[in-house]
Amino acid sequence: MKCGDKVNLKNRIRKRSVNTRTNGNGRDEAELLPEKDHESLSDSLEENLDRIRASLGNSWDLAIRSIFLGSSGDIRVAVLHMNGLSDNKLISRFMESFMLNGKEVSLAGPGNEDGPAHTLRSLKDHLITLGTVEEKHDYKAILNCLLSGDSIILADRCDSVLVAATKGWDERGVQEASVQTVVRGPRESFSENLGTNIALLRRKIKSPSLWVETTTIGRITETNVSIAYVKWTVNEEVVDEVRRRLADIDIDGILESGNIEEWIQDKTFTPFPTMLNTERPDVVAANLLEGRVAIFVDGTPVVLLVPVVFMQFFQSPEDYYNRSDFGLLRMLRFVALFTTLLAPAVFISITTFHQEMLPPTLMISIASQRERVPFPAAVEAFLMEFTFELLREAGIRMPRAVGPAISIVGALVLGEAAVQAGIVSSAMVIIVSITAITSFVFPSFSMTIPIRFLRFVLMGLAAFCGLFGVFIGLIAINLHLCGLYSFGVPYMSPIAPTILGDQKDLFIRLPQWMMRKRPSFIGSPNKTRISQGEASSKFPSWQGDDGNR
Amino acid sequence: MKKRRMLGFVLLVIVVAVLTTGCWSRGELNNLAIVTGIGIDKMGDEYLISTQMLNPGQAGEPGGVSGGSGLSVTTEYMQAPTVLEGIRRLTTVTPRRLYFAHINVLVFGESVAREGLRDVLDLFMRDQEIRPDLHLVLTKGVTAKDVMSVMTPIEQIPAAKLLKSLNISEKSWASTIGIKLDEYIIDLMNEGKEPILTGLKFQGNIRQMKKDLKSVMPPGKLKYAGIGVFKEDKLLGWLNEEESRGFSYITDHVDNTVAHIPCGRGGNAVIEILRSKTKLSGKLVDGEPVIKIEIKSEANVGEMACKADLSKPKTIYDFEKSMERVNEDMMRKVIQKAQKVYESDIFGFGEVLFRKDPKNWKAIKEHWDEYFPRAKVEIHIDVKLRRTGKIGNSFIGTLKK
Repeated sequence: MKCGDKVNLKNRIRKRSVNTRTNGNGRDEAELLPEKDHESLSDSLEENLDRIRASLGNSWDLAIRSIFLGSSGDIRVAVLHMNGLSDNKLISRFMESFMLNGKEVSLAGPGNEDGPAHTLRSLKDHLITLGTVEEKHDYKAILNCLLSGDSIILADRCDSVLVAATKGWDERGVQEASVQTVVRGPRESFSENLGTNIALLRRKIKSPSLWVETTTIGRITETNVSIAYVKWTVNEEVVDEVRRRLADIDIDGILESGNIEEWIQDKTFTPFPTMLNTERPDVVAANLLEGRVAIFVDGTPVVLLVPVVFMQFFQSPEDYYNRSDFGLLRMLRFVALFTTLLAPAVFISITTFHQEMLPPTLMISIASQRERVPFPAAVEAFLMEFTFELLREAGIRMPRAVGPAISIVGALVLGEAAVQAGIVSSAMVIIVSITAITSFVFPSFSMTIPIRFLRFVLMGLAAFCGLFGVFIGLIAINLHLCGLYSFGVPYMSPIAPTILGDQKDLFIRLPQWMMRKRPSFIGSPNKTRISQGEASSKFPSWQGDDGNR
Repeated sequence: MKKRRMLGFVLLVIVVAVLTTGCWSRGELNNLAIVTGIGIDKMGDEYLISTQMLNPGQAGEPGGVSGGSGLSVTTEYMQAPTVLEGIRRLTTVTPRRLYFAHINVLVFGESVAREGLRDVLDLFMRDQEIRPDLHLVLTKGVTAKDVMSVMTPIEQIPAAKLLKSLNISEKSWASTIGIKLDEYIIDLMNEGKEPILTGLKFQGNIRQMKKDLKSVMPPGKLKYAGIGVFKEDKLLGWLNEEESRGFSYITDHVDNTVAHIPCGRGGNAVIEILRSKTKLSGKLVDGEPVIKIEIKSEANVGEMACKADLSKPKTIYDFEKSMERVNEDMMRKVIQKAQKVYESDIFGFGEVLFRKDPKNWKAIKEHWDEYFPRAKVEIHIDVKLRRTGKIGNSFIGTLKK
């Protein structure tokens, strides 16, 4: 396949039937709100306050502060905010200003032209010492702002309110990446705050062509979801498709980017992830530069990247920070992939069906170990693999304090004692250990989950049909992988379809100066990474072409 | 929906595949008796099959024979009119199914070889479990059953010892030739070539040997000795060690070997052959076959037990000449024996003629048995001494007497 016809996304992307998901008639937010006409506010301050209180079900974290302003103290103003979501310092600053200068507020302007609305305008123009203040009418939007941490300022006889940006709550700061760790490379990772996350990204890409679009998804949670891309490198069709798919999501709540991932992936029934997730700003930046689109979800440090290919799950950010090792580490990861996928299955097949494949000495040793084992090799393997999965799961879920206890039980009881007791053979313990170790080699944790699952499938096939079954399974997996797409990009590219030019960064990572082009399967309109003038030089000079960043 | 039907189809295939095969030919390692070697003797009209089987509980233990309570292998034997029946009847003795994929050697008793191997070999080519690269060995003056039933030092599994020492002596002494099952059958079927097998004999007291293996110097040992000459599938007789080595030279089986040559006045020098390449060619001259053997060898001085001066080129040339003579003697002897005593073309001279002179071969091939004994053999040997080892002249030269 040539570059020209590579990314005709519209043709390839599976058309999703919108109506299956967006009809959501069952519950509408209207039912949650007591009033029928929830679009506008009334003139009465009391009525409005009651309405807001009622909408929130008299939740105790709603703070209402009423004060009287104006020269005669007859203009009643209420300031509302949610405890814990707003920065009290900011609120008290403009409250201070209200108290000190409140007398200047008048009911009407000099010409009495605006009536009550003038009250708000003068508050906004003269008294609120904040960066962002907006006037709003829509009741739903006002509630939304209130619940996001902004302060609402209501005035008597006004059917609109002021929204002051006072968001500010306790949050986890930028911390060291805990899942995708590196030896060399930036330590920081995303946090739960969308704004912070976007800022972390902007600190990496200081270009006006980094564009961020934000929408709200989730009928109840109203979660902010941003898509970020570098305008210069991104394939517009992919951005359109991301927008379209995000717009199609109609669900009550989005709590994590995983919720989004499941709605917008190309194929629903696949164990393999078709979106890369990362907690590292540098990974997001590098992918945006290659032409991908990032999807940020407020409230989670995990950012989605599309479109991705299978091979990306075996690429660590560190591959690019360390000197090019011409594929040593990458090959190690592929060896690990096959080991963790196949080791138990092949062991079962060979010891139960193809004993002639074992070297005689090894055969004698395995045979003598198996003498005491009462179960068939398949049962033995399932037993041990199951135990290991239990241990792994327990290791994640258990309280930190009991960790050592589990380790001791796991290592001693299940390893040594099980062999001593003759329940499993020590060869099987080795197989399970090597499987376990190799499964942690992949830089992306989301790839270990399908491999874990497929390992058991292959073990089952091996138990029934030996190596024949294993290969049937491998062929099926291969077919499935080749049929996957991620936002229109074939999942196995650049292997299938074969794009030799993109294989510079596949099994091996060539030196940076040899990779002049962006991966073409993403469909970036600007293909050249290294500016043309310097491209022939082995040592590109420092003056980069701004446009090509 | 098309997709759903496809999914259903795939599921159906999986279910059918799993249920109908149902772990077809599954065999757990601990349900198999792993046979390490088979011996076949002839007892009257019947065959005596002895199988040496692994005793996995013992074999895998560190310490092996000396540490364990039992032995690493056990040998069972059974008499039956045919080999396969014998093997199957063995299950009346063994608790497990016999598993043949890991056989090291197939040992034929002299008795069965004298009567012809044709009736027993078919099974081993036919059975899918047995590999055709299985090594064949012939016993000499001892039954295959006895060979299968002695323990050997160093190697835990006696059958593995048989295989390993066959290979190692082929590599470094050249008196044995490891013949695999398929090679033997090819030799058997080829026109103008008769098969051979390496012989194995027992030295020492076999009764005592069977009893224990607790002394540093075992009371007996299995030793390869000479090559058995066949005419078709029947054993005719034996080549001794020297003839066997000559045979190895002619058939280009020499990797590495040593031989001594006379040196100066009363002394020997040992020459180590490092590489040797033999080329055979032949044609009919005046209706009589003439075979030409060309050997190119490279050698080292391996040992000096004399005073010869190695720094002189003449000494080296002399050594080369005498080495060539020694080798030629070896070859002449074996050719003589094959032509005059056994009249069996074990060297494959007929095959050489067939390759080099196919037209004339056609004319004489029916009567090759008559032509072979009077075939003329020209031998051209070229030995090159390359190095003298770590030192030059021997210290012996500096001694006064």
